Order: sequence, then structure tokens, then C-alpha cells
Amino acid sequence: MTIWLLITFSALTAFAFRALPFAFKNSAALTQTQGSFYRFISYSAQAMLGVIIYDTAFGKRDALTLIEQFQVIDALKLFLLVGTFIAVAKTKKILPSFFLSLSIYLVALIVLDP
Amino acid sequence: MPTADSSVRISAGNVFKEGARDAITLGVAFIFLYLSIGIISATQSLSLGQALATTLLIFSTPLQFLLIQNYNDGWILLPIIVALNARFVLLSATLTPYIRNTSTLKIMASLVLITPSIFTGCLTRFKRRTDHPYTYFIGLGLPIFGVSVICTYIGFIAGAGLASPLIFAAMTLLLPLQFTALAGKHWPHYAEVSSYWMGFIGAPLLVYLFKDYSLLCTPFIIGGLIVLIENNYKKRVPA
Repeated sequence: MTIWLLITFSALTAFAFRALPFAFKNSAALTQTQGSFYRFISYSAQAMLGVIIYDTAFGKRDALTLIEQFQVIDALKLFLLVGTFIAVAKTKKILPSFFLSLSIYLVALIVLDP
Repeated sequence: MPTADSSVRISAGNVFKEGARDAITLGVAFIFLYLSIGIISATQSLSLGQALATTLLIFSTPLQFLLIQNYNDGWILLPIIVALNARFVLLSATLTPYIRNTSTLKIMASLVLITPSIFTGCLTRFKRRTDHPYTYFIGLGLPIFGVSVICTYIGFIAGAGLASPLIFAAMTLLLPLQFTALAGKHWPHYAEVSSYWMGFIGAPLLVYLFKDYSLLCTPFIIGGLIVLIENNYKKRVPA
């Protein structure tokens, strides 16, 4: 299978999944944002972001593998993520805490050379 | 859905600018991510057209990384592609009530902009204000999309010259930091924030149960659980 076929298939499925909910845009389930169904979808989307973030930061490791292979750099990642969350929740400003955390992480990468 | 605050209602042009300004915050991570996509595309022997097509037509970083690094695996990738793309249903469904009054043509033309980052940026804003939601969505999404296309091009042209282990190591925390910062903006919407962190904590645990389909199944378990808790709480403590 050529790369072009894979790109076309990916583009078509991405488009279809992105478009699908708009076919039901007038249904009560998607217009009543306080309804259980909409909240379920909305919270599931947030939870999905949490899963993506864990997978990206810790390489999709399961809990036991993470504990077995836990390193200083993993502890730092956790600390920076929680710290960034608290800082943004308090200040409502994203960029300062984002750049500070990123800088600390880069310095740690250079120093620790994991 | 929150209503637009008419007392401080601003014009569509200003809302577009507001979106573009917020795009600066979100765009930083995209610069690194799409430079990397360009670099890896060049090192994996893709053509410039193929590298750009992945960004222009798919615009999904995990899927693009998967494609450009594993395209030799061929049809085996198809179910994984479907699974990775299925997550867009959740994002679109959550945005639907806010932009459903926009013409179908406009929505179809801008669907590629629906990504987790742009979604989170929009939702953060729509929780506060809902005037000109589609304009904000475009104002936020277009610059990020444009920067991503340009960075794919630059990364591809620069090729291995820009590649460094430090950049790739830094990338593992770029997106997590960005999303976590955006989750912080949701505070004090406890249900949303709890869903985010439960997804984070649940990922290494529920992977035992759902294996390769964890990304698809875990969010629904958590979303359902939070709604149940919220509904029970509302029954006990009527508004």
C-alpha cells in the first residue's frame, strides 16, 4: 500500500469523524449543554486529552512498568505538569508558566542527559 | 451554554484578533511539533508533497507521526488510523452547540482545524463568552494551521540539519505542558478539570483492561462516571 493511499484514507476518515456530529447538530442531545448526554461527551473529551497527555509524556507505559522504570526525569515531568496546572489555575496566564516549565525541563535534559 | 455578554459585546473583527492572539500561546508547541514532522518526513524518504499533504489534509500530530514513521507497514495501519481519528467525534460533538448556526459549507471547509489544542482553546473561551464563536474558532485555528504548514515545509527543507536528540526529548513534554496549562484555564469548572486528571491517572491503569483500545474506551468510562457523580450530587443538593 503506498503512502498516498494511507494519506488519502487518513484524510477521509479524519474528515468523516470530524463532520459526523454536525449531521446531528439540531438534535436535543447536542443542543442542551446541561443535558446528561452532552456533559458525558464533553467530559469524555477532557478525559481523552488526559489520556493523550499521559501517553505522550510517559510513553504509554502501564502503571507497573512506569513504577519499575521510574526515573528522576519522570518525577520532574510530573512535578512540572502539576506545577503548570496550579500556576495557570491561579494566574489564568498560560505563557509564563508554560515557558518556565519548558525551560526547567530543557535544563534538566541537558544536566541529567537521560 | 453560557450566553453572550451583550454589555461587552465586541465586533467579529476583534473576536478574530482575540483568537489570533490566543493562537500565539498555542502555536508555540506547533512550531516544534511540525518542524519535527517535516524533519522526520525528510529522513523517512517522503516527498515534500507527501509531507505537506499530511499536514494540509490530516492535521493530527499523533496520526502524522504514525504515518510517516510506519507507512511501510501498509494496510495493518488502517484500524489504528480509524481508532486515532475516531477521537475527533468527541471534539466535534462538544463544539457543535457553539458553532451549529454557521453555514454547513463554512463548517465543512474548516473541519480540518478541529484538533485537541484548538478545541481546548475554543472551549476555554466559550465557557466565558459565546459571541462570534465561529469567528473565534477560525481566528484561533487558521494561524496555527498556517504555522504548522510552514513549519512542516521548513522542517522538511532543513531535514536532518535540525534534528537533535534534545529537540525530540523536549517534544515529549511540549504537548503535555500545553494541554495541562489549558486545563488550568478551566479551573474552577471542577467536572472538566476532574475529567482531565482522571484521564491522566486512569491511562496507565485502564490500559490493562482495554489494551490497544485504551484511548477509545478510557475517556468514555471516565466521562460516564463524572456525569453519574454530578447527577447524584445535583439530586442531593438541588440548585
